[in-house]
Amino acid sequence: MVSTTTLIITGIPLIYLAFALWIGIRSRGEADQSTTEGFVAGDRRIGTIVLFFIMAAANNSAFAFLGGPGFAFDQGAIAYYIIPYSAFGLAMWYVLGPKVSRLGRKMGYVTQAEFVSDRYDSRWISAIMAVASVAAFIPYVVVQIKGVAFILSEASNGLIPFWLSGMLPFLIIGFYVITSGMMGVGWSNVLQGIMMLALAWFLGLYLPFELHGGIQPMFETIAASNPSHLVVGLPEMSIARYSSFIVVSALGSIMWPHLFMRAYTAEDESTVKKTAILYPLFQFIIVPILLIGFAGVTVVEPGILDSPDRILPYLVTNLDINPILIGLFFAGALAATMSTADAIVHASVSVSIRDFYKPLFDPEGEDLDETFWMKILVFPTLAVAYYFAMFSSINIVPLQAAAYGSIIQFLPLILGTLYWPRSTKEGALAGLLSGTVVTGIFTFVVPTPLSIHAGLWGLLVTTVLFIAVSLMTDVKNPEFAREMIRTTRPDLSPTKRDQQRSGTATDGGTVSDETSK
Amino acid sequence: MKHQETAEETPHVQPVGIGLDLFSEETPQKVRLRFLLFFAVYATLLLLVVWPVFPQVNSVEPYILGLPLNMAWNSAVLLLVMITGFLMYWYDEMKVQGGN
Repeated sequence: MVSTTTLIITGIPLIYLAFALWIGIRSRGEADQSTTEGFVAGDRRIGTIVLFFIMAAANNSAFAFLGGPGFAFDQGAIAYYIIPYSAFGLAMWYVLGPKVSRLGRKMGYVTQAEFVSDRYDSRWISAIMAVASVAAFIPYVVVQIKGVAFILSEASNGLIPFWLSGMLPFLIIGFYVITSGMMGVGWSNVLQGIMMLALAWFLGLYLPFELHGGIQPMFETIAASNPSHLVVGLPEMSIARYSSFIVVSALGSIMWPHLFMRAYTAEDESTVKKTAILYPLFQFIIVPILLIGFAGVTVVEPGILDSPDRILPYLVTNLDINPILIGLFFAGALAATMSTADAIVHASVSVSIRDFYKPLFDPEGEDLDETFWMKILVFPTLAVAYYFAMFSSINIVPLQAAAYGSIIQFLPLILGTLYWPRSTKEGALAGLLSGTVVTGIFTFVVPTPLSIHAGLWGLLVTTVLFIAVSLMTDVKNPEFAREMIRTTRPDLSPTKRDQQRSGTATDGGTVSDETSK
Repeated sequence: MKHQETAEETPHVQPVGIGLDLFSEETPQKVRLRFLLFFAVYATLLLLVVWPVFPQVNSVEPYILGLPLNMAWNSAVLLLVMITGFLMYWYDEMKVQGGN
């Protein structure tokens, strides 16, 4: 016989799932789902609130309620590096995002690789970027499926079997990505983001007080029992490695295609800017998330958990908490996981068709076919990830680290497109390939020198080769290179400027501050 | 592939220079300096959370608002990043509309 408590704890996440599905599907009408621009970029009409939650909720995955607290619980102070880095990434997006948004509007781009490969006139660059992206996406989804399977089966006390727990939320994601594309991802992320915010702040403040009588008393207890747990450094991680993690993440986090290409969805340039500057407001949830993990230290013996990631579910289910709150926790953990997974699945199918299939096999493709095949690809993509999460004995999660090492290498190419007319196709290809190889070698083959993040060595190699080879080769079409940079800038021609000004008071001829970019 | 019509643009057929093309020719000097200043501020903020600055504050005590010093430091930098962002947006967009 199933107890009432179990029913409540299982019911709340299920109600959330139904609600997420409803929101996802009902947002289909907000963009034309039969065109690539509508399906991939939400008709370029997304406003600040939705875009804010898209960026914030997609950036914080199952990691928020499983990995993050587990990180602080298990490794201690080195988890601090996740507090500031992504805000730096978004600051970079503040500058690059509006440029890319303008390019997209004028040239019809909807993905990250498109404008880069167009500038360097190389479909191979597009294909390489697509392969690297999808290779990083699939393991990313695998992690989310494992998280979701654990959350739902744990919440239902085994009532929902493990295989179904991992499948159900992803069926829902699949449905609303197919029916509503970018708009489905966007509106469900609003719901998911709000749930994450509420839950993280509540639990992060509640648990330290419940278990330790306050935040400072909690840290004092930890410091007394294990002083090195609260200080960054060996044995966990050297300062050099810690620093390199921050730098590489600050530079690379926004290079993730499922985040970067959202610049195309913004209704205007100031929407991108507002999203970027508001982003840190959300990012503060890392503070309570780490507090949750620290609350478990000295209270829970690490040995009794299967994995440190289980610390928060363990705390929530083993304290005498109201079952409604426990149900809300599991729903929030699902929301955190799904808000990342839907963005990734949507980006993965978009990139597969638009950046890999189309340039290599179908350069003259029809718009309508494109979205059709993207939608067709949603469930096979999920099925591959589901297979690796549930059945395969091969652990493909380390592949994500390698693929991410490749994604960071996009940065010099993108900066080259936006700022350096002298950069060439040969330079871009040489940099991208060698940087990826170097990162791979230092990740899997030999230990990375000075224990610095492998991606940072890769980025160094990419940058050097990108510059050197570009200078040794010729720009094929210098006018297009310059034209592209001009397109990224606000239109400053006198007529256009007057049009923009119309309706506002004259300002004595001061040039618009918009010209700063 | 998708070249825009360039009929209205002044033709520049000179070879590409080696340097970076950071600003439009019409961007006033003041705006360029401000942009570079914000870049420097962000670089400085990033330096605050990595070697060699971070090891100076990498300790538990004193506690700030209940948080260990090193954790409070990282949170404070996040706050400064946010404030810098607001300032940047203020100068970029608000002052235009305010007609300064």
